[in-house]
Amino acid sequence: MKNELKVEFQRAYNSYGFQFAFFVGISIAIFHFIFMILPLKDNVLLGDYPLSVFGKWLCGEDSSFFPTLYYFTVPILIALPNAGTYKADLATGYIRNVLSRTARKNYFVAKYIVTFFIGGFIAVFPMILNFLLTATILPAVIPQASTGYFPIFSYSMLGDLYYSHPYVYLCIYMVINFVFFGCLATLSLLAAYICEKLFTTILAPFIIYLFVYAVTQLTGWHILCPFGFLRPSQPIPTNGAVVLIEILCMCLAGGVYYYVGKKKDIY
Amino acid sequence: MLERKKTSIKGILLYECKNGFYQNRVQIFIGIGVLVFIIYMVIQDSILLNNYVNIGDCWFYLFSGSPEYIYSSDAKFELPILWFLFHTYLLYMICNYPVNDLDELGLQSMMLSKSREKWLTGKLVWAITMVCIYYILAFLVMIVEVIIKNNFLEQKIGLEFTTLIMGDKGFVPYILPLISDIAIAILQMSLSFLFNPFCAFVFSILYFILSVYFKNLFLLGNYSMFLRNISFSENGLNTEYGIAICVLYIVLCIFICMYHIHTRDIFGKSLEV
Repeated sequence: MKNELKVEFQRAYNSYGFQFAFFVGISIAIFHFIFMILPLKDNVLLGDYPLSVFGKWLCGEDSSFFPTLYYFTVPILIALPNAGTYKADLATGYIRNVLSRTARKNYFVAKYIVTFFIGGFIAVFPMILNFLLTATILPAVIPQASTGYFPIFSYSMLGDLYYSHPYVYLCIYMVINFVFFGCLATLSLLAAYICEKLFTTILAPFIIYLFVYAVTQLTGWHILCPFGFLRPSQPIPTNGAVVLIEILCMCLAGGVYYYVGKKKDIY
Repeated sequence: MLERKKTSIKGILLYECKNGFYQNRVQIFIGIGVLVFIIYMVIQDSILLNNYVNIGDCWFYLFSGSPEYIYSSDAKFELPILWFLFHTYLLYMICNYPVNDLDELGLQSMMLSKSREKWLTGKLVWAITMVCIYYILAFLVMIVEVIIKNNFLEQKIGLEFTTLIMGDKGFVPYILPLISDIAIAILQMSLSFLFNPFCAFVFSILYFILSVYFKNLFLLGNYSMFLRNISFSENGLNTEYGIAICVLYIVLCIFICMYHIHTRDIFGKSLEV
């Protein structure tokens, strides 16, 4: 298993997809810093309450297009490094060479773990980078609910934590984003069985994400919308059970991928 | 005789019609489902008095988009969901085939046609045809759903464009979204040739989000939003300028595609992710 993990991580890390996804992710983080944060450097103390890093960083605000852009490109980026490799392995016959040398279980589990971790990393790294960059300009002033400058309300998920321990709140949200986007990336492993083309396989997580977004927004089930509940600014209030159920559904899809993969006649 | 038939531009177009639609059959099939959903939601949201709905209002609602966004720290930036879904799915459908075909049968058709330009012309015509078919399908689905909706209520059929909307503006503003989508589709195609389909698709998403955020002459997404057109909004963008800029985009992108495909190493590396 250790060898398979090492090989899969190396394949993912050295792929053009990883470089492209990493580049686009950090570009969004840096451009947000340049266009939205740097102009604020002389206005930190101008208002009734100092501007705070917690209310202005990439995922802490809702007024610019950067958070929207980020949460619509990430579902594409997470799948680029590794999620398409399973489809490519099936098409090129690489999988036959691997499975003749190792147990099936090792190959499928390693593929799943690497896709999950790389997807999570691609999603969360630009967030951390942007938060740190923003913190170089804006002070980490503890949010105050009474100022009305912060987007979290009493009915928001972990609302109390945001105002008492904002760093803990952010860490929890980073973990949620990591796990959710990691699981979302693994959906393309299952899509490899259904989709004919590499393009549709890799974009399967994005298409699912887009449809869930559209359906939940248009039918009034806003609480189920990942575009809302994944953002630390919580433009749509949610609760932990919804997040957990959606992650479990995606894990279930991972189980189907493993089961079908083990039974599939690849020769 | 057979050889001549395959090498003519007519043969290339015929090949594109058959192969292009066959390769994308699943996406087209799902696309019809997406359109049914989109139009259903449009009808739900654009119902007028007495639950009566007409096709003009639905068409207007689908492409209304959002008014100009004015940034402030209190404002909340939101995408017009139906508009975004409609355009994103269209670009998703047509993004991959032209480049992917080079790794498959396309190379043989290029050899048979004896001209890279003819082959590219086939791909351009296919992309334009796909955009037109998508719009025609949307219109047909709209007709069917409007008739079903109104007949269930035992009222009029509802196929008229209301005078409230049509007025003396003519039909050009109503087909401006189609023209701008053709331009964006060709822009996406040229990017997918220059880089790869994934880069092109990410760019398309970025382009649409920027179009909603900024009201700008050169962001073509603005022309597919009626609320940003001068015919419907006082400070909107000019329709004639819109058509001119779309044509400019199309000509520029065709020129870039022609140059690229002329110099491209078609036997080089296949699509890598």
